[in-house]
This record gives sequence, structure tokens and C-alpha cells, in this order.
Amino acid sequence: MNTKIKENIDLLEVERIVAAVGTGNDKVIPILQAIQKHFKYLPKEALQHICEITKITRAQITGVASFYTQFRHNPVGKHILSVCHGTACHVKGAPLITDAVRRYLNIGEGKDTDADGLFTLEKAACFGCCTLAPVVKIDDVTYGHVSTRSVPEMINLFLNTRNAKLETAPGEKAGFETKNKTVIKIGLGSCCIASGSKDVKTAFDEYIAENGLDAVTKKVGCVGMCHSNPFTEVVSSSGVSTFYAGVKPEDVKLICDKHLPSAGSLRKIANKIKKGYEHFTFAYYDAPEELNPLPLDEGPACSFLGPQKRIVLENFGEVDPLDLKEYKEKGGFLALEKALKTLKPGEIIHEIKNSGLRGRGGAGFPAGNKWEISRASAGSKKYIICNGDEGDPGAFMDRMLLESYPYRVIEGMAIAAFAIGIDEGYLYIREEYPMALDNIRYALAECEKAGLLGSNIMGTGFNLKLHVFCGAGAFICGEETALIASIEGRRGMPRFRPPFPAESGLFSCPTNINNVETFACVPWIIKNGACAFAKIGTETSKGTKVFALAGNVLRGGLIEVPMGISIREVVFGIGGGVKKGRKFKAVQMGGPSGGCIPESLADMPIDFEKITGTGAIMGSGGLVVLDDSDCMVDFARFFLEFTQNQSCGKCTFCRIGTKRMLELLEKFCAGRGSLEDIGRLEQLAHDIKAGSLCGLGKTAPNPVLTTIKYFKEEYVAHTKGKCPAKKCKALIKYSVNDKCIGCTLCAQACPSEAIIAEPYKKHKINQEKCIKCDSCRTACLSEAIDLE
Amino acid sequence: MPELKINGKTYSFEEGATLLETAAAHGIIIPTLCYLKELGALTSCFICVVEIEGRAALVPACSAKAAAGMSVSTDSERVKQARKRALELLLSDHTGDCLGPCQTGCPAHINIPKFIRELKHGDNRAAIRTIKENVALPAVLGRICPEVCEKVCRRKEKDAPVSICHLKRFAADFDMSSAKPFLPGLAGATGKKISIIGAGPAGLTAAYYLRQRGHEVVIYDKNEKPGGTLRYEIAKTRLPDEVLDEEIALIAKLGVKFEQNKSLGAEIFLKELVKNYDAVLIAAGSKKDDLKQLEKEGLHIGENGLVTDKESYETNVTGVFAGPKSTLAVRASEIGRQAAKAIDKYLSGLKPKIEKRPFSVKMGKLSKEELEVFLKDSSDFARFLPDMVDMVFVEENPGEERVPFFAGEVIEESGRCLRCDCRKEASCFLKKYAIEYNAGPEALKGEKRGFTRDIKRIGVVYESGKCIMCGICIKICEKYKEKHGMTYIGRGFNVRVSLPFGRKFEKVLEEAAEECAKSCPTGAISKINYSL
Repeated sequence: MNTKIKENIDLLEVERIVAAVGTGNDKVIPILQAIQKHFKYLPKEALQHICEITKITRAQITGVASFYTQFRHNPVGKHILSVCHGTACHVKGAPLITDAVRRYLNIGEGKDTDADGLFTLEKAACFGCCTLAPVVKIDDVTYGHVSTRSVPEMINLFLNTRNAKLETAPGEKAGFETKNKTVIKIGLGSCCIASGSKDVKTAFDEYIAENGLDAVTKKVGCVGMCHSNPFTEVVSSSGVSTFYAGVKPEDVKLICDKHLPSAGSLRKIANKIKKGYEHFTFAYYDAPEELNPLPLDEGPACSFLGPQKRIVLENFGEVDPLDLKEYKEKGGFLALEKALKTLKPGEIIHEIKNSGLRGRGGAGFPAGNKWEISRASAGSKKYIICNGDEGDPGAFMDRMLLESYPYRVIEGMAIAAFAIGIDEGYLYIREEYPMALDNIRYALAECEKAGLLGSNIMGTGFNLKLHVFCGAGAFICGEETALIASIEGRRGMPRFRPPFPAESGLFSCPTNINNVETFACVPWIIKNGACAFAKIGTETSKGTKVFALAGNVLRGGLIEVPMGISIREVVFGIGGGVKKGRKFKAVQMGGPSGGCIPESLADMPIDFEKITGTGAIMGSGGLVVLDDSDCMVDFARFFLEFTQNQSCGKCTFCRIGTKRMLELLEKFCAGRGSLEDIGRLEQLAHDIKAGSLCGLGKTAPNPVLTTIKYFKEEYVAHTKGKCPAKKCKALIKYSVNDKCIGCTLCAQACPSEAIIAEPYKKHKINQEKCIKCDSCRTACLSEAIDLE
Repeated sequence: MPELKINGKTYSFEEGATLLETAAAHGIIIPTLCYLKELGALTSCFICVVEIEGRAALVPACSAKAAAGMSVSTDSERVKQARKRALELLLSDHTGDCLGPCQTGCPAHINIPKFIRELKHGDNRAAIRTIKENVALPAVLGRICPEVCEKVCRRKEKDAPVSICHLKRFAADFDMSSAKPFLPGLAGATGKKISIIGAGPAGLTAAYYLRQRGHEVVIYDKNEKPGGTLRYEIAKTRLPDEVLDEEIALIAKLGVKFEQNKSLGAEIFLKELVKNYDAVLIAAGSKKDDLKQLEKEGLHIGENGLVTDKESYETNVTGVFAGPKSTLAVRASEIGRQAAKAIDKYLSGLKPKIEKRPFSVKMGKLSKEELEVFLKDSSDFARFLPDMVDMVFVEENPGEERVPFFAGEVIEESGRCLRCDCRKEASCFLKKYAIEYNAGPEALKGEKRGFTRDIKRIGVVYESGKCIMCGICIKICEKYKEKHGMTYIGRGFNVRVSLPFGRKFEKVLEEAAEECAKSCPTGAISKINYSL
């Protein structure tokens, strides 16, 4: 052993961490997270020392540390640069971004850190900032709409500004006085911050302070209009609202001047609204992916918000997510009070059953029935778990709910816990969602202070202690038995069911697990009654569903729609359709477990059974729109790569079968697949579905099966060496057409010196040098680069 | 007691019992790899899947509880197909050789690694017994064999192949010069009589194995002395008559009768043989005259000589057998052994069938790192047998092309063997079920793990490439509370079962090692048994 390294590892720090976290077997993940936070990776000496001073065994710590992707085993650079490889980011070219980062930082294949040890490049499963795709995160700073060309600019910007403190402590300025003041509300969800809303808020604060204006800024939760970020609402002291989209810090003066004494004219960017969101008028600028969108003009009625129905997202954009007082003013915790003081547990369960609420995590199991089974299970100790391990790439509903509506989720959990007879529980939230974790932690503390959690809640004798458990990066932990294993300090490997968690779950006690959104529906149902909820939706799918609308759609965002709305209404009505000149091809629903529903089925109403009938699944609500520039074979490959990576490796079919499928798909993408290989893929897909233990394996083949079912011709084309969407690198070729004006922009952008560019003459591409990074095409202003 | 249906029949079951336990209680066997009763179900291999009426997915019988009214199928086509696919997937990522490449390459499939190890430990008796499982004339073949085995020997990737053929010759010569050369035991007399036409390598070998099965054997041969091509076509400088005579004498000693100077169509006739014997093997007759005579007596002759069934060596006349013709002695020897198998089956009333090529997962070409792994546990000596023929020796010793090994050299040369073959070849469950379900290692080919080998001197070896991630050893280590117990490492296709902190076997596993070796369903963890 290298003693020099050993000396460098501060084992006293390890002991301090263990003393703070605990020494039980179940503390292994929190301990490892704390170790990594301190050392930036997991030094072997530290791990060995943990085994000496805790009950954790060497086998356990090795198994766990190597299971979760959060954990690093080698020293890293000063900064961590993570490129998101979620679905939406993939669709928008994340692999090209990774390549561009590698080139710029000169990180060779097989390496992850640059020569100076400044940056370590990582691949992230999904940050849930899908509307900003492609997304890159450097340490705590998120950059959206990154392009291959903007990579150097982004890295330099980071290096120049990294000393600025970018995060505000949660709860800062909660509950300040707003009476008789103009209130400027700014959405500060993590997507909004990544779009620069924090800078806008700072600019407002500074301007207000400098000029002594009678106004305050107020942070609110996610408005859902991610395509319009940073989104700002100005509420005058008389209660009139005006909205601005795509606000930049330099717009602050204009906005203040218009609305506050000494205001000037602001026709140019103002967008006059009559009253309330339901009626306001709104027009959309054309290209939401541009870094600095133009201000708005007056336009037609808002088609983005019109078709939506807000239950889970009630009061969106109005309240400070962390302001408990404000949540209560808007009717928060009335449902809990009603449940505790006027309803019997059986009545609550009856109400939930009558409402028709089904689990929003994907499988759609009736929530009331689950509660009933948990209640009926023998045992005095029971647990409640909120499943916030939203691992589907392309989904960010749960992140947003936890960030922007933490009290609603907690209230729903408390009602469920009371109905089932539970006094302890966990919110399992993935570590990729730092703000969700912070906000929930803050909200839990607030609730305890206010007597809404803890002992003798509202004086009714009901007790409930809720903990936060931070996931460590494993998609499989969304599966309930794997999630439980994870809290217990084990590798997230699912086990055979039955027994179901409702009978034997966390620490072998009956455990009720529901998804974040499921819990968030509960207060509304208790307050408004089961009938009101059941009135919305279809025969078998009641209420609303929150979707993360992303991908190649004009207006991405977080939306809540009544069940039964058609896919077309969502994509075209709310989302504004695909980019000009492109053709809508399909929507991907259900992430890696789901499938692609083609345009021909777009009039189908969204409900659990109908979606399942297509071969996709409802899933947790990721809805990624694909247009004719998306290759379905590549897309299937993308998902198989994901599931193969995320498979826990336990079962034969999932561990090896998905790998063999992935190899076949890679063969297609390289143009080496054969017609027989399509049959092989299907055969393997059916084998894996039939012979897997958990949902991951059972559904992993869905993306392949649905693409073969609806887009077989694309597979056939690949066997002939053609990629119809021009996405598969091995099958495409870049060339210059006659529109070339000889401006040399493409040559300047080309990282591999593959463009022979004489000024004012038509340029040429050296095919041997071309690395197909797409830089030239994005650089060209005269559409002179062809792709075939 | 509650009842359920298994394969259409109604059975009772104990409340709380799994389907596997229920089936076993009624004598219905469901294959398993990752299940051990004392450890409980691990539900990882999915070989034990069964079909339950009304359920879309197959269910692992080791974990699913029996329920009243359930209708279970343990042997439907769908179940068999699923097991086959699971096995094919496991085999596709199973790195190692069941049989050494030499044994697979040997036309007679001699268990070469085994006899080499026996020689290494000085046990010549065991070595000759191993060799004579597959060939009747090892001293002969040890001189004239084209050494196919050596062409595929992995050792040659480092320097030169092990001198397999010469080692075999040593074993045979040593045996024959001993006071009591090895003679196999004979089964009780069956009362069946077999005649063999032709005393060449095929006829002699067939006689040797048929006689061991308790049948009476008479060989008819047209020449003055037995041996066929071995005696009359191969140069005496390569194969001296004395060697041939001695080995044939051992066959005669078993009670095989030789009728020399008996030509087909002159002294002997097929019709008579068929009448007087329970079976006839034609181990000659690739000559034109013979073929003509056989055709006259009713056998079908095609372009390539006698028409025989490739799977059973049957001709169109019942009870008359013939293998394909071969000019290579070692191959002719194997044809004789297979013919003996077919005839033996036929005589015991079964459908005659020759053996399939032995099942083996093949590792193929080794990477540089893998070769290093193999070399670590073998001797560094260079190949003893010079490729060049020692002319001085040949001239001084008529009939000998090569200098025979001395006993000491044998031990050193044997030590060069890399031990590619699997220690659990005979007891591996993956192999057992692969054969049972006809699952091939090449069916779902793709990326594979590399080969590693970690040896614990108390007698256990871990070859991680063969691990099927069943998790049994992990549980055993937990049971023994091993300080550095086995654990899963990583995820997805790259998940491995290994020791924490990169530890080596040698330093860890105080108590669990033996039990792990015993319980590992494949050759991943196995006991080192030097007599094997």
C-alpha cells in the first residue's frame, strides 16, 4: 500500500462522519455520501476504516459503493462536468456535446479528467431539466441549451464566475410583508435557475434597492412554462398581473420603469393580462432553444395553459414553495385537519378508493386498495415511503413537485399515514435533485415546528416522523423492493414478490409505498371529495396526470392535464407542435420502460389501459416528442443502453439478454444488421419480458418492441446502410452544397480540420477527417451543409 | 391439505411451500442453478421457471409459493424454450473451456489434460487407464499420430505446445514394459457374438471396446497378421512391428479371436456372418473388390463406398454396421470406438447411436492478459521434445524416429500444461442442463468476460469468467461471517462476484472456501484435486 496516499486520507474525518451519521448496517449509503462530499471520491482507506468502526461489512460496503453511480472510486478533477444523457438531451444531441467537451478539454477516450486536473467529465442519467436540453452541469451550476459550439464559452463562463455564490439558502426571506407593494414573482425551480432566473431576481433586487422602489421580489415555484424561462409576473399593489417571458437582467430596468412610479412606456415587451392565468393572452416566440429569446408581443389566448387542469399543481406560480404560512392561507393542511378531526381511517381509504386514484408511478395500481392492504397487514410497526426516485430519463414531474409543492406532498403522506396507521416514514429522493432534497428537508422542519408533523399532530394524538433518504443514483431503486433494499443499506436489487411491501417491506414491516404525485393528489381529493376527482378523466383513469413535456416540441414544460385528453392535443395544443419544417413522428411515453406511440395513434385519449394497449406504458409521466429528425433505431438503442447500464445484474435474462439486444441494436446503427436480426431482437425481447423478476426487466424490451411494431421500415433501411433520420453516425455523410457562400464559418467551427475552405469559394469536406460532430451544420448561416 | 395441479395431475401441498418444494415432494424435478435449500431462494438464474395458467410471465419455481387451485406446468414447450434461452444467455458469457482445446481437437477425444496431470504426479497406471478410455492402441498412435491436439494446444501461444503425443507414447510404452500391463475389466458375458471384418485400427479398437462390454468378438482379416494398414502401409521406421504386435497381443488377451487369411467373397461371406453372429461390423472394405462383393451380398454402395447412417453406423442390412472410411489411424480408431458404442446399444435392444461430439464451451483465442493468467500456474520449461528428428538416434534404433522421454522429463514436460480444462467438467450443472436442454454456447454470442484465475493454496480456485452470478457463495460467506466475504461488484452486464478491496483468495475466506467450492454450480469456484 502506498503509505503516502494513506497519510493523505484524514481518517479522523471519517470518524467524525460516522459519529454524525451512525454505525448501523443501514447507514452505509448516508456514510458513503458524506465521505464523498468530503473527499470528492471514496478513498479505499476510508472505506476500510468504516468497516473497522461500524457494523458495516467489507462485502456490504464494496457491493453498495460499486452499485450506485453517485459514488466515485478515483480522485477527480477540481470540478465535475456532467453531461446529461436523459432522453430529451439525447434527442437534442447530448453525445455530440460529450464529444465536444472531450475535444475542448482534451480528454482522451477512456479517460475522464483533463491533464490539469481541473475538470472531470461524467455522464449523468438525467437531471430532469428536460426542457432545457441538452443540459450540462458543472459542479452546482446548470447550463441549458448547450450546443457543440457553445461548449468553450460555457466552460470559460463557469471559470470566470465560479466564485459567485449562486445558491440561496432554502427558505430565505420566506413570509415577508407584501401588503401594498408591487410584487415581482420569479419562478425559481431548478430549471428556471438554469435558465438564468436567479440572475434576473438579483437584478430586480438590486434595482429596487438602488432606487428605493416600493416593490419586493418573491420567488415562486415552477410555473411549468419552462420554454418561456425566465418567467416573471408583476403584481401591482391593486392586484393586476402582468407577465413577461424570457426576461433578461437588462430588461429589469424597463419592467420596473413601467410598473413602478416613474415608469416609462413598455409596449415593447409587456404582455397585458386581464386577470388570472386562465385568461391571459400570450404569444410564443419561435425558437425556445435560443439562448436569449425575444420579448413577447400581444397574442392569442394562451393555448399552453388553456387545456390544462390543475389539481396537483394548484396555485402554481403564486406561492413561495417554502412558505408554510402561505401554503396554509391557500387552504393547505385543511385536508389533513379534516382527515384527522372528522374522518375515520376507513373513511379516508373509502374516499380514496371512490376517487379512482391510481398510482402515478407507472403501474397504475389503485391507491386506495394498496392502503387497505397495508392497513390490514399484521404488525404494530409500519412504514410509509414516498417514492421520489424519479429515474426515468426524460421525466421531471416529481422533481418539480418536490421542489415547488413540498407541503402538498407531505400533507398527502400524512393523510395516508393516518389512514393506514403509520407513525414513521421516508421520502426517497434521488441525489440528482439537490433542490428537491433541500426544499423537502426545509419543509419537514417547518412542519415539525408548526406541529403538523411529529407527536400529537394538531392535538389529535396522531404521530408521524418523516425522514429524507437521499438516493445514490440507481434507476432500479424506483422499483419498490429495490428502494427498500437501498434504505436498508443494501444494493438495490429487487426481490421476488409476493410478499408485497404492503405485507412485508422496510425492515420486514408492512410498508406503504406511493409515488410523489399520488400523494400530491390526496389533499385535493380529501378537500374536494372523491366525486369531484372521479368526475375528471375516463372510465378507468380518473383525475389528472402531470406530464413532463419535452423533446422536439416548441413549448416544453411541466403540464397537468385531465386524463382522457388526446396525445395530439398535448403535443399540438399545449406543446405547439414540432419545429417548423419538421414532421411530428411519435411520442415516447414511459421512458425506458415505455414505448413510442406513432403519430397515427395520436388521437388516442391518454389513459392507463389505452396507452398500455399500444405497447408503451403511462409511466410516471415523461412525454418526449419526436420528429422526423429522430432515428427510431438509435432511440431504441439509447434506451437499451440505459437499461443495460441500470440493470442490477441479478437475473440472467435482464443482465445478459439486454446486453445482447443492445449489441444487436448497435449492429443496426452501424449498418451491419440483417433482416434476421430483427427477428432475433424480437425473440430476445419476448424472452426477457417473460423471464425477468422485476419491472425493469419485464419492460426493458418495450422501446424495441414498439419501434419494431410501428417503425419496422427504419430497421429495414438500416440493414441497407441507410438511416432515414440521418442520425446514425456510421451511416451519414456531410457535404457542402451550392448555397455555400465561402464564408469559412464552418471551417472555423470544425474541430478536426476536415473542411477545406478557401474564402469566397465553395468549401469542401474531407470525409476521412470528418468526425460527424455536426459543428459545421450548426455554424453555417446559409444552409449549405447537407447531410445524407 | 390444499391441492394444486402440476402438469395436469392433482397434488397436495404444504401451506407456505414453494412450487419447487411442492414439485420435488412429488418427485417432479425442476432444474435449478442458484437454489440451495439451506440458503433459500436467490431467484437469479431463472432456470427453474414454470408456467402458471392465467399468468403471462413465467414464474421462478424456487420463489413462487404454491396456492390452492393453481395449475402449473413444469415441462411445457414454452418452459423448455425459456430454460434453453436462459442457459444460452449464461453460456454466452461463460468464459472458460469445459474440455481442454487438446481434447476437443483430438479426433479420439482423449482426456489429454487428465492423463498429463496423472503423468505429472507419476501415476502412469492412471494415465494409461485414462488414455485407454478412448483409444486401444496408444503406443501405436503415440508414434504415428499427426498430433492434431498439439496444433490447438494453448501453450504454443507462449512457446511451443506440450508434447502430448510423445507423453502418450511414454505412458503406453511404460505400461507395456511393466510387469502387468493395464487390461480393462470385462463386463459379464452377454452371450452375444459379433464378427468384425478387418483387423485395422478401426476393427481392433471396436473389438477392444465390444469385448469390454461382455460380448464375444471374432475378427476376420484377409492378411497373414492383424494390423491392416498399420502393419502393411506405414513405414517400419515409424512404427516397428514389435510395438504393434504387443498392443494387439493385449487385445487378444481380452479374449478377442483373430481369424487371419480370411478374405471376403473367398473364405467369408457377409450372409453367413449375419446368420452366425448377432452383429457384424465392416471395418474394412474400402477396396474396390471388397465393395463389389458387399454389393453382391445386398449392401447399398454409393459414390463414396458403403452407404451407412451417420448417426448410427447402420447399413441397409439389419445388424450390419459400418463407419465412414478414414485413412487417418486415430480417426479410424475413433470410428471403431463409436461403432462399438452403436453395436452395444443395438445388442441391448436400444436404438443404435454413436456419441455426439462432447459438449464444451470454448474460450477461443486468449488475450495477452489471459495467457499470463494461465502461465502463472505452469512450469517455465521449454518444450522437451525437439521438433527435429534425431537422425543418429534413429539409425541406432531402427523403427524409432524420436528419442523417447525419460521419466523425469515426463514430469517436467507435463508441468508445462496450462490446465485449460475445467475442474468441474463432470459435475457442472450449467453443462448438465445445457446438454439436457440442447443449449449451445454459440447461440447468443456477444461480448464476453475475460478469464481470470485466483488460487488459494489450501485447495480452492476461483475462475471468475465462469461465474453465473447466482450469489450462492455470497450467502455462504455471510453464513460464516467471513471478514472479506464474496460480494457483488458493479452493475448490469458488468456485475461481478468478487472479493472486497481487490483482495486475493489466498489471504481471505477462512472457513467458507471449501463450502463455496462444493456449492458453486459451475466451475467458477472449485476444489483443486491433484489426482484429477
